[in-house]
Amino acid sequence: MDLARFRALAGAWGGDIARWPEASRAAARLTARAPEAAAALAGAAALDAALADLDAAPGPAPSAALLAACARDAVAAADARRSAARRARRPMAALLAAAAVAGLALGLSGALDAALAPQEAARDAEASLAAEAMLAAPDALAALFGEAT
Amino acid sequence: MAADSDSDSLDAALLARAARGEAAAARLLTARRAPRLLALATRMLNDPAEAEDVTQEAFLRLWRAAEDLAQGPAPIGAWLHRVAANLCLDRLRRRRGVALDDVAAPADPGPGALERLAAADRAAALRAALAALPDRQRAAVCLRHFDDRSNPEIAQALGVSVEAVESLLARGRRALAAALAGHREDAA
Repeated sequence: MDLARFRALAGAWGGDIARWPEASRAAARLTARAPEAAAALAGAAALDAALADLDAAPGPAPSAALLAACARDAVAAADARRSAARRARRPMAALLAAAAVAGLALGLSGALDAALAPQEAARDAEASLAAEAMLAAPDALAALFGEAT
Repeated sequence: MAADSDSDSLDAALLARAARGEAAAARLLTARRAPRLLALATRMLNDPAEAEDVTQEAFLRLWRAAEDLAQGPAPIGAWLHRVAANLCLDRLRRRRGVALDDVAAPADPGPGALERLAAADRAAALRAALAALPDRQRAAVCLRHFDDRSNPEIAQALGVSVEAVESLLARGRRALAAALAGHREDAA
């Protein structure tokens, strides 16, 4: 790497070769042994340090208005989150209620079925006996319809 | 490291309480973290009012992401810093009439010039020089030096190639160094 390119890289990326583009680092480390290159690197590092000092300096204190606005936003965000959670729970609650109603209906239906089952069974039995009786007595059937056999 | 860890833990505890709607916790967390965001945003945008807006927006995103952040390992300060930097970039992109080559490259002041400046003068001169940079140069310098982004990350953030970032950084840093050297000569 020639000195001009080295200086250009130092000027752009700073005094730490490890932060230069990876493809140029190996050649740059070799070039850095030259005094002119080392001087360019030191100049770039000085600007890095000045910028780091600036970054480390305390920033401006937030205004009372900004503090209040951020606190309001936090409370509003918490409220919104709670509302969203309630909304999310609502369909689930409705689903559970529907399931309960359906279960109750099924239960009632089952109970009704159970309650009615003996009557139906009795009716069925009576109908069956009647049918058997009719089949066993064709004359009775003919008499019933007024037909002569 | 332990101090950082304690500080991160305190942030996390404050955020958990703020997420439950405790205004006092939100206020304290804002007071702890806002100065650094304000400094970053002011440097990047060169506009204190916009910097306040960005800071408030960064915190708003924090409150909204509180539950996700509570489950992740990211320190809240670093998360806020990155969000604020991205918000600044969004604003810079929306600004009109910003060109990459709108300021002539100043002469290289040479090594050793900066060391002779008193620290306070140096900081003041740097702030002024940063403020005078074109938006994209200032953004590249800020992302590189104040947000610790890698070269490809800066390129991606600015929507340019790494070579273009090199050009932006070279001109920006040269302008900063020249301004500092000029300041030194004025003071002499």
